[in-house]
Amino acid sequence: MLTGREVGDVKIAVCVKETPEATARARIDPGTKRLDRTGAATLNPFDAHALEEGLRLKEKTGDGEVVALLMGPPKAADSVRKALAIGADRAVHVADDALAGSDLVATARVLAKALEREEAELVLLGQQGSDSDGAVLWSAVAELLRLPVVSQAASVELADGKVKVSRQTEYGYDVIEAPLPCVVAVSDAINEPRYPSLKGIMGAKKKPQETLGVADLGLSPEEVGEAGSGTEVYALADPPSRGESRRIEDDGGSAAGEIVEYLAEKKLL
Amino acid sequence: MRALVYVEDHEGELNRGSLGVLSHVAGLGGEVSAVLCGSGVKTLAAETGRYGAARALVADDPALEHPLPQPRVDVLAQLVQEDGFDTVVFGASVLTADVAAGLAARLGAGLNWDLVGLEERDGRLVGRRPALQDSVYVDVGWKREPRLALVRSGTWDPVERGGEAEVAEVPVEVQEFSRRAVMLERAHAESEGPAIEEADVIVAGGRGLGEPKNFGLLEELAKALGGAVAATRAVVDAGWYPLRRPGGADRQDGRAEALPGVRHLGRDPAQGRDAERRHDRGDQQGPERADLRVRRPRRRRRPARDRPEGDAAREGAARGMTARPADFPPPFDPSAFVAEPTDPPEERIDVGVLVVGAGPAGLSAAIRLGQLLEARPEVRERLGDVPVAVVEKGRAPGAHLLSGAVVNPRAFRELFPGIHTADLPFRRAVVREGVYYLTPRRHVRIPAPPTMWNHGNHVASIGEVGAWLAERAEELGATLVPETAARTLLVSGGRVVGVRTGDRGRGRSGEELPNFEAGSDIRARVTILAEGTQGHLAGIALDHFGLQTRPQVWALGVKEVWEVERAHDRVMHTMGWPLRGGRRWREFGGSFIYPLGEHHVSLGMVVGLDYTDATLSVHDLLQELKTHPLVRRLLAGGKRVGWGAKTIPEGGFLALPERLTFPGGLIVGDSAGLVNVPALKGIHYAMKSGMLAAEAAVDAVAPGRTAWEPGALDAYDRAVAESYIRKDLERVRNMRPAFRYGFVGGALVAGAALNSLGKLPPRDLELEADASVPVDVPRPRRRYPKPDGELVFDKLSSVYLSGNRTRDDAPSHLRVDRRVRREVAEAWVHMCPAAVYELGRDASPAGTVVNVEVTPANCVQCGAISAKGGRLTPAEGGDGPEYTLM
Repeated sequence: MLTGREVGDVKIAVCVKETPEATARARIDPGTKRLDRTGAATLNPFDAHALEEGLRLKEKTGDGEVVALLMGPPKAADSVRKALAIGADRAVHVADDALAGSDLVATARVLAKALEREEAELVLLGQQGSDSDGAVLWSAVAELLRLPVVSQAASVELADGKVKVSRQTEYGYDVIEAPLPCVVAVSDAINEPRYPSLKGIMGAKKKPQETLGVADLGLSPEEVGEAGSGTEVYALADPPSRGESRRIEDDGGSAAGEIVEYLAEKKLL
Repeated sequence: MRALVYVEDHEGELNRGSLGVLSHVAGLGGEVSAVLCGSGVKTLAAETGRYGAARALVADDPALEHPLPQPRVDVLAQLVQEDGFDTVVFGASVLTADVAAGLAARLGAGLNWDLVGLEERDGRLVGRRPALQDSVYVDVGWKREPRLALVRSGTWDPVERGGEAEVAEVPVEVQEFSRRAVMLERAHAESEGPAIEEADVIVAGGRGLGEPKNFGLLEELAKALGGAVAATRAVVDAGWYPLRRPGGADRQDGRAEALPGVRHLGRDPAQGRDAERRHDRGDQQGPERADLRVRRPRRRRRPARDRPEGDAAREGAARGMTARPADFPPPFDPSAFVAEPTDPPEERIDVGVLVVGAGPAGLSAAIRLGQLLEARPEVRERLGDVPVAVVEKGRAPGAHLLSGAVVNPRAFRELFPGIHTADLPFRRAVVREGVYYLTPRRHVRIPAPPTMWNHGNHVASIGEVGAWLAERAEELGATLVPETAARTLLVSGGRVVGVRTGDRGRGRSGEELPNFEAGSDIRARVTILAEGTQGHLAGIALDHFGLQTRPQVWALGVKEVWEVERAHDRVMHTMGWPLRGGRRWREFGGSFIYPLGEHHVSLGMVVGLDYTDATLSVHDLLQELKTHPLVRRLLAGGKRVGWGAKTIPEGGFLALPERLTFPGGLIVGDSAGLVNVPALKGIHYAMKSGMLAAEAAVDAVAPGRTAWEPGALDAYDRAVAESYIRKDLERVRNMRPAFRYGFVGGALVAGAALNSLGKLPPRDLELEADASVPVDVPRPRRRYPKPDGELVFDKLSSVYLSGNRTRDDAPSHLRVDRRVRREVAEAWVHMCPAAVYELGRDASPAGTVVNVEVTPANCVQCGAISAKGGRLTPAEGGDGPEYTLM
């Protein structure tokens, strides 16, 4: 579907989402059993790393375009604007009532359709959502696009129509190469995201952005949202109690001994 | 159930995590098959039988040599489709997460991930998944087959079941796109020994350890426990700890591993950039606190960083009879926040009217400006591309707003003529109200003074009001610029020409970090300072132009929002307990308890900061208040969902600046001190002053005029003087200062003032700056109820709930003398609701000078420290609390 253009005017799509502002107050609605998204929300901090990497790659290769793609309710427009303020050239916001309750595969379906329209050489995602801890989305997106995927990227280089990624695993760093177009999920250690500049914040409203519905993507409502999801939520429960806690302060090297003693006392050792 | 379990291998060994998953799934009943993918892995397959696999399916092919996910998706998809497996289970790893998600997409199947439980219940398969930082567990399931499950690493240990697996090879057909990613170099473990997934005890650490050498503590502990050391990726990447300890004889202490993609030891995004980047005990907030923590041994003494002459003055103050915070002035020079514009023309930003602060005052100004400019295109024309801009230091309008709040809708009606009350952002009308006098166990309802009658007013969340006003302002053409702190007043030729915003991305010592973003000059024809209480630039402007001739005084309010089954319906205020009425204590204040809609209760405690007891803590008085039977009943069965703190300017009429204008600018709202304390009202005065300022500003920039010609903005001072703002404040002017005579004396003077419509007492009383009131540590000290985490909370849990995301490696925005008399230090420690100040460890008794330790990252910018001898300056834009229901 995509033609590999010469690097120099690379087109990068960054998938971002909006997540609740402070997890301290995040809650799951007991009725719908979905995350309550009515409160203050922000651009997912993990996605800021993907956006930053996209901007750096664009800056390194010269001309090009960074498109931010967000799926979320209309009020997520604030996060779309934030992505533009940070430096995305353009944004696509997929907002549709039918999307509520989408699980991993249903979400991937929507993103993949929106990405097909973009024909980007490189699709970047963040490591996870700060709300869902779901660190798996990219692979589903890549599968639906039938593109190569590399995750846990600690560094990304573009050269000769290829992307070279250093991937962190349990055992160290792999170096993986794939031809463009390609999907890459970056880790949050890859870079330090920039702050939006004042000019960026003030100019964000004027940058091109479009809002799409499910029908615009050629999807039917049955393929997305709760209807298009193969998983469901049965019930919410309290976490197991963590019991009493005790604080041990180190005063010149005695703490280790005290902790061992405490654990032994609790018969954990 | 016909289940397939993916068994991972590494360097000739089966992964224990996947064997744990295998034996658990085998225990659920049904036929379980294991699948292995790799090159030369067939010899490992039989072992899966011991852990419960009836069949071991082996995909052995050079295409599977490297741990890349996509060829494995091809293998598994074919297996599931041809062999009819109804369930596929993975133990999570970097590789299997990608395989599972790819497979789910290929098959259009449901994938539940991060599971810590999997069982058959009532004939269906149920997974259990922790969510929201493990604060809630969710039972999840699948609507159809095949069902895919990814289990959190380390959930189950392998259990030997003693069976034998029938080994069979399966065909491997890899799609073209699955072959495109190729491994150039593969990571290899550099040492032998158990992986952390397999260790019985893991001692893990991150940036919280403060510095690399403190990993020594972890090694010591791991050694004592016979366990392994683990480190967060952030510190591994920072080079604090190697990814694996190099092999060698001295390696008996296990080994460290980074935990890639691990959510549980990693960052907590709620806490800003790095939850683990916490240095001091004071930083450890909320539920993510570990049960056991090793603290970095503190240095015994901080180096003396102050000038010798400061010490001399301090010695004098230390020897005095009384301790006054004002005797220990902060290292703060207001002139450092006044500057000439410096940005070259191509970099600077030009706007028409600049509003600093997106609160009720600033947004009302922006809205009124928008309305006026629509009607006067010739003025709008002069103001350029951005006629009205509002800069806001919080992450979004409303993030830093906090109030009771019972709102008088008067200013709303003036700003939006003809609007229906139902369209205003209020939660509910005041239908019933009551004022109560409390004793420790009882309450008496007392007649409400007329200033406190709230008929016709509405309960609201000021954060919601702010967000709503911000939308209106944008509709009318204002440009909102959030997470931007106005730091410096740009003054040129004696007139204010705009502000300079603060830098972002500076390190603890002020150094530029890699993502440093310098502030910018914003030039404006008129600057409206609407920063709210303790306005930073308002303070600078008042000082620079010599406008504040009488001291302002402050109160500190601490507020909580509770979610309850059903909120009570009465707007309540209390006086008396837990405050003391005695004259020597000077404890002026009380509480408010409002129904915020149907399911929320707002409650707060407000105390004037001229109190004398150094151990008074408004935060803890609010906790104590909740234990009163009257209050406890209203909160029964509820949950605290919001917390915040803010100061209130209480001086009113007697503390009004000489003028509210200066060449090129105006001051509005709380920044100007427009608060009516006896009525507990300020929002409608803030809005009204914003509107009046907008009107004056537009006239001052009309064709042929400028805002800095003499008298250009005087219309604003006149308009305020002629409005209800001044009349209301003047009438109640003596009520607040009277309370220095204690509760009874204060009530008598206040009553006289009220009954005479402000004519009595005949003279104006004088205000005394809060920092000039001596503080003392009484014996016995005040005692507060012990936190139970349900009704009564400690300060750090509160700060956590405020959504505070101040970057903890930012330079300190708090200016205080770090060496002060013990009494003053205690006053700060207790006063601060966010646990920013701590006594140094070596604190000596009252009457001597002690060290104060400061944790700026906890600060919620309430402003109390500025009232009590320190100075709050703007933190980095976007830092600070994120209030939602406040």
